[in-house]
Amino acid sequence: MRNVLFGSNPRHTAIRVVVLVAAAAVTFGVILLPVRLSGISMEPTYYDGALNFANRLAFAWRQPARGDIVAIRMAGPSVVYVKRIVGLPGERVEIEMGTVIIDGRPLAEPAVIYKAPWNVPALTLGNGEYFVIGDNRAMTVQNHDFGRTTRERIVGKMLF
Amino acid sequence: MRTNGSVYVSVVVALLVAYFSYQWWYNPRRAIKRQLGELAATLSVPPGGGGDIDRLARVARLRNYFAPDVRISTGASRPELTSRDALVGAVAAWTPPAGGWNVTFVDVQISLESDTTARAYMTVEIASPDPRTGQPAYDAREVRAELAEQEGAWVITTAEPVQTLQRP
Repeated sequence: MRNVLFGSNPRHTAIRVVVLVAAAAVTFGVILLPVRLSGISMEPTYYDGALNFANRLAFAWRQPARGDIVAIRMAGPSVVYVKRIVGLPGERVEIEMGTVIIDGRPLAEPAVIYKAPWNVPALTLGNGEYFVIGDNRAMTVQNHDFGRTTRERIVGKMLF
Repeated sequence: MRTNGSVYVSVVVALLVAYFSYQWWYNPRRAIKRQLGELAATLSVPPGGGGDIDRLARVARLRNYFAPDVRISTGASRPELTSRDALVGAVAAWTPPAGGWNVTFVDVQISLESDTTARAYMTVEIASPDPRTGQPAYDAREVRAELAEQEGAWVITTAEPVQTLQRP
């Protein structure tokens, strides 16, 4: 029984346990933020209740890009929005009859299946600002949280 | 040498005990967090509403957490509440969902402005069962609040939502 619990060399087993616990603590405490999705605003890419992770190191060496699905923190990282970036700093963004228009050109969005006729007036993003929106555009515009956010609120990129 | 070492260890242990005792009992931030936790519990509604007496008791308890001249902003489209009486009246008139809801304040950050004033910044998370599936549905909003110590208790003097995603 003792051999089963502690192995043939208890010292090595203890080291393995410490290394595993430390690796798990670093991975899930520092690098990956567990996210359980709630709501339908990212369908069909993500469904309500899905479990995912936000990679906090994704933007350590590069800036967020258009098409990235990111986690956006609220007061802290315990509750985050999960949205897709459509507008980058300095760009002019508007939505006309459901089509996102960036600097006067319609944006191709293969992840969006159906576009309800949303109309959102144009705005120009400032330095370090991003425009984020969910993939489910079949919702009414009133029930969908989207808009401008800042770089420091972006916690990380969704892992898968 | 061994005696000196024991003295040093005793001093360090005493300092640690004093520090943690202060953190546990006297730190205003802790008192504010405790107060906010009690407020979240008061705002939560059990399934079925808990009955009229429970509802009245919860509404009455709300007075403990707000200043008489509290100003509550709930969003651009709704009028601001400018007194505790107006707030209590609004909550009393509101009909809770049949399945109840659970209110929690998460990521609470407290900053002390003075000995008697403080600011709190937090995410308010509301979980309520989806009427169709029965599974919990979540809604969350950022809130910024100012508090003041009045008659030995921390009360909210202003509260306003913070727009995480800003629409044009």
